[in-house]
Amino acid sequence: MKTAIRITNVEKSFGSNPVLKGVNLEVEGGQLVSILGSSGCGKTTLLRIVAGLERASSGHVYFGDELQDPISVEKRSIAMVFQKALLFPSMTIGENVAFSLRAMKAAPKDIDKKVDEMLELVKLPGFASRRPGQLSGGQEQRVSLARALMRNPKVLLLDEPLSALDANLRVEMRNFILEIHDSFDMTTLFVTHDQEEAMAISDKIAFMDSGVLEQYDKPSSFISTPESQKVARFFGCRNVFKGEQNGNIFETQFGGLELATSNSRGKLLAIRQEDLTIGNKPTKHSFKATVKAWQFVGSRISIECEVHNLSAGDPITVIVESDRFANFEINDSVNISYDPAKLHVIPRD
Amino acid sequence: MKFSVRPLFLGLFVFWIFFPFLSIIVWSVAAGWRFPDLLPEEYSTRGYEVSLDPNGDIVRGVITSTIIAIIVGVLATAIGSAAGRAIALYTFKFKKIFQFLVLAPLIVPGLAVTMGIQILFIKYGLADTARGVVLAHLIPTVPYVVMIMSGTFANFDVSYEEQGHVLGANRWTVLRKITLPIVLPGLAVSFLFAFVISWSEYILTLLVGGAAIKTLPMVLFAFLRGSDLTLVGAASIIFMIPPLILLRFTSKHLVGRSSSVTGLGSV
Repeated sequence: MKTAIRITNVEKSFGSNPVLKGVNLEVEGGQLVSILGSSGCGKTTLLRIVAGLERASSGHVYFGDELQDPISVEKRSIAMVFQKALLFPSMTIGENVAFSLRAMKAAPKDIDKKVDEMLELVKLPGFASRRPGQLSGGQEQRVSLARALMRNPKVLLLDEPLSALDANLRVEMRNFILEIHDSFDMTTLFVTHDQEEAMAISDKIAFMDSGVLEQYDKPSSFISTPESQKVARFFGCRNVFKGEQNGNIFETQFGGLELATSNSRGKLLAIRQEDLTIGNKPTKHSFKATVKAWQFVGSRISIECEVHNLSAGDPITVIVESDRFANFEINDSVNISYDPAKLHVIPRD
Repeated sequence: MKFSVRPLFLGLFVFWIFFPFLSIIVWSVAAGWRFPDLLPEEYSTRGYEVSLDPNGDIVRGVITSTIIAIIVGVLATAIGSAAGRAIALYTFKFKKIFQFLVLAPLIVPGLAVTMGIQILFIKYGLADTARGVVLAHLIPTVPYVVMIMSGTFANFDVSYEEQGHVLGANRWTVLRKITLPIVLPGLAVSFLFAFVISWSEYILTLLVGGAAIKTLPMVLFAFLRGSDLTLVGAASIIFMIPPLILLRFTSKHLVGRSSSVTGLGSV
């Protein structure tokens, strides 16, 4: 598939504060890519640079082979939906949806027909004559989406459009966004701080931290093969151990763990808590630990264990997630088993 | 029976506000009214007949004042809105000094400023001209507009404008279709203030316009000196009508639902 959006070495500073530190990203045409990260990581700034609402301090943005930097925001083939629906209060819903066509001076007859079709698509038929204040948050955001799609954009930019909605509505709306994306010939950039949201709807995720693109990959890779400790931690991996790799053995502070491959390189080992099992008997791949605490996490139990530190420092904490039937007392001696194929050596700090 | 003082105070307040108007209304139709009579002995429409003479000074004064006040209202609203927006939405060097300078005419006595600019206006040929009077009236009106519009823009979300741009609208379309309708209450209140201040301005008009520009306040002062109170009463009633008409159309923006966007609160 051809590259639809190419971001090359984009940097941005506000005063002396660098917000983006040389971001490179290539998005294939027709894909839905989430730009994910915590608050202040630069994800919205990057989206605004792609939209043309901000000018990069250096670097370039291309749509296909066309350089976008000299093109003003209103002439770029984009549409954007913000966190707030931002329906123009002086206009009806129909006028809001028709805004881009009227701004481009399309024929009035065409406009009314297209507005009706678009409102039908976003499941709000007959809403054209209503006013913005008469709609719920979810309905307003759907109108905002319809208004953006009226432009028939090559690139749809979504800046945390679901964050102002309540939890149930968010799930419904994210599926709706996916449905809309699939029915249009466009590439979508979706900014979010919610990893579950990003995992659910993205073809690929661009994870950012402190203005740096940490990893750009398909969603499952962020769980099984995180490229940095920040990525592993953000995606919920609670066990990251320091150590050295020696062939197919990773030497941690509490002993060597066998890896499925000796090809990986790095000084950190990630083991997801749900990939460990806790039991009384030792197995081929297990190590001894002591149960220190446990708590319910949803319907499962998160068990905090301590492992003896071979370098005479503080004991090492290992988190194991088990089903709700696990039956261990505090200070019980247990064996924690692992699958070498599920251990991952993190290539970068 | 429980006695409430509230209606009494309310009555006194209303009387305090409206008594001068009542007195003017009676004077405007009085043919003769001598102390200690409570009401005039005779009534007449002479005051209104003279006031509404199409070739008379008052009608000419109304026309001159209306034209000047409308131009001042439009210019002050345009200039003050731009400054108000800058103060509310942008950070820039010397912002505090800029704010102080914009609001200075409200603090510095107007007469002192006028004396200074009169010399300047004579030098540039603006003295005794309508243009000069308009420029002079901008001095006390622009600061009020800046205050109102900085409040309006402080409550304005610029994301609306960005939303317009990402939907393909240029700056002009965004201004016309998005920004102006949202800040309209503030603009209406600003225009009302600027219009009323310009409409009532006497000293600045006298010093800059001299005898050449006869606005209604100038004509009224001339009548006051002539001590024909019937004519003064009728002219005063006519003097009050245009601001009241304007207030009628802008009052919905002064209070109630839109008060948050005007920045005035519930006036």
